[in-house]
Amino acid sequence: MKKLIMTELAIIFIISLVLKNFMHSVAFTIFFTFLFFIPILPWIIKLKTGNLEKIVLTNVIGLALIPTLYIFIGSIMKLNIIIYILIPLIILILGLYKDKYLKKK
Amino acid sequence: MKFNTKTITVTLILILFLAGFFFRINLDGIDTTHPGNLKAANAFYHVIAADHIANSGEIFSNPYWDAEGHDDIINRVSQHEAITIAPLIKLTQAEAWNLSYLIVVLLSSLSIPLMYLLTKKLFKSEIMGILSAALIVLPMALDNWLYYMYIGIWLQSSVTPFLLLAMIFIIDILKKPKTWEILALSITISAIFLLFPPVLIFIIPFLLIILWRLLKEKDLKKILYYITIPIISILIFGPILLFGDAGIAAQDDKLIEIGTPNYQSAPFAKGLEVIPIILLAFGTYGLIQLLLNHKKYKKILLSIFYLGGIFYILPFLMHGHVGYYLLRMKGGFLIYLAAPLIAYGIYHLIIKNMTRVSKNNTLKTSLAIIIIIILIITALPSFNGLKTALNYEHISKEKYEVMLWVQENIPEREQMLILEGDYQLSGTYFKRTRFTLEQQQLNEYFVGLSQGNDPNEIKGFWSGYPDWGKWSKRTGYFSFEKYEPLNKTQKLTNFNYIYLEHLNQDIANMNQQIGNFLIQQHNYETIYNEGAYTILKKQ
Repeated sequence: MKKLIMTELAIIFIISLVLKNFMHSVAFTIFFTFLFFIPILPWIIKLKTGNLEKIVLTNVIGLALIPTLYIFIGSIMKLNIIIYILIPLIILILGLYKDKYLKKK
Repeated sequence: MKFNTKTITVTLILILFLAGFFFRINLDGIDTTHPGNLKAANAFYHVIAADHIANSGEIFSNPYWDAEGHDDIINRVSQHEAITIAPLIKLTQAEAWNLSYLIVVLLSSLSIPLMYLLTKKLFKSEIMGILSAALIVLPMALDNWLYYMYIGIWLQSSVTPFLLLAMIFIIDILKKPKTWEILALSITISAIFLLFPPVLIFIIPFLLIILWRLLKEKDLKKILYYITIPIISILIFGPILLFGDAGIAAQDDKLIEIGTPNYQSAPFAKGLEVIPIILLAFGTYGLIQLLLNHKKYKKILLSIFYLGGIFYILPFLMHGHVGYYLLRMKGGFLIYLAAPLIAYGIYHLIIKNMTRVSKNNTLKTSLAIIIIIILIITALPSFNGLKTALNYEHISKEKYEVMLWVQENIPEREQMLILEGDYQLSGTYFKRTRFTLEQQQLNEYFVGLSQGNDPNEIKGFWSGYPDWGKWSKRTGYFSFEKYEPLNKTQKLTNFNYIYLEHLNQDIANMNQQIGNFLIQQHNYETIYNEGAYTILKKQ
């Protein structure tokens, strides 16, 4: 998991350098990875596929799921920073909890 | 590190992805000082939508200054993409126009590894997967195949990776339905529905087959995994899609009408004819090979004929609005159907024949790398040509400074007259409700002025998206109500603030005449006068 996160951070940082502002690049790398990649990773990590597939699947599913959940919440209330962070955090915790729960079983 | 074929493949795909990303991002570029990288009205619209969500938290409304001053006019476009960008605007503080373009380019580039995965799954060949992915790094005739991305018709571009991922899951689920893949497919199709629903037409029959199989299995857990998220998505966005501004029910066009589609010659309506003849020959060979092995490739062939039918037959049955959208999709998506076939043709005609004596995989991979390099090098002139063609700006740095000045110094709810030939909604960044003139209207006004017409009478339009269609506010779950449109004939003196842009000496002279008329006869004063821009205020 750590290896995949580090790889993602490296790729997204390389990509974000196009923003031509170091602080923007760092912020983009951290928040993009936190919002769209890390929450999905615990759900994908156990799949019997290669790391390339895992990284691609995690990114695309994250970019599909997290904004979808923002829309679900946004249809009943205004969005704000707390919601932007809370939703990925809940998905991450659920993923980690599901993992531990399955281990116990 | 073990240096084996798998490592080479992963490295190659990573290189192709990064190459695809940097080629794409360099087409419109990144501008830290002003939104010069926005090349059309669509791009302005999407960036403003993301910015509006970031600032207001409202996901279904337009900013009032783009909605004739109303706060509650609903957004006719689904905001999945804008909602992806909004938190990044809020959290990184980077410019909305750069983050928007970055995310769209990232999504477009993610299609490259997904194309590898899809082709590998279809033909069970790593090399065909790599070749197929390489074909969309810089798709030849890229002015056609990357049109949506660089011009700003971003939803069609952003939806591609989700579509490819859905196809990958569909293939797996049709073989053996695994619970996690069913859930992942349901997430992906919900995202497609919330991002750009028309493309669901490509996969709907397969989705129905999966549903039918799950119902037949009577596995309630899998059925719930499959339908819950899409049903919530439909409940949220369905009424807007069907009954809202741009809803299908609101269109005047007949849904089904046999005939020649409109816009048939438009750049976005072009299909396989723009693929270089040699690649088309490889693709044709690939298709013939599939036909010869039709028993093995029955399902792939059926899918090709279904998708081909959508691109080449359906637009002729559904002309009007739906036919137009189908044609637009042809110009954006056909390459994703063609790439695996071309890769199949290249593999069988070149790589397989040249490595017949040797079963060495490294030799095959090396040949594939050479072909990829040739493909990309051959596409470079086209890339450079397109980059040069896109070297224009709707908003210059100087003009953006004026716009920022307006945002800071003119009251928020003020209606402004923007006396310029508004093109591609570039006036959006004034962020004020604005009455403006199209180029033709501006020319007519100036001609009338030189002939001694009353300078006070002016015909234009209220800039913003409501002018484009039938816009309304939501009054109930299924009900929408329209506002009375604002008058399109106005007097100069109706406006407290008037913006004049001196595009050339003739226009500067005209603007001088207008300025004198307003200052001398109607008590206006100059409050901004820098370079080619003047703003007058009623005292």
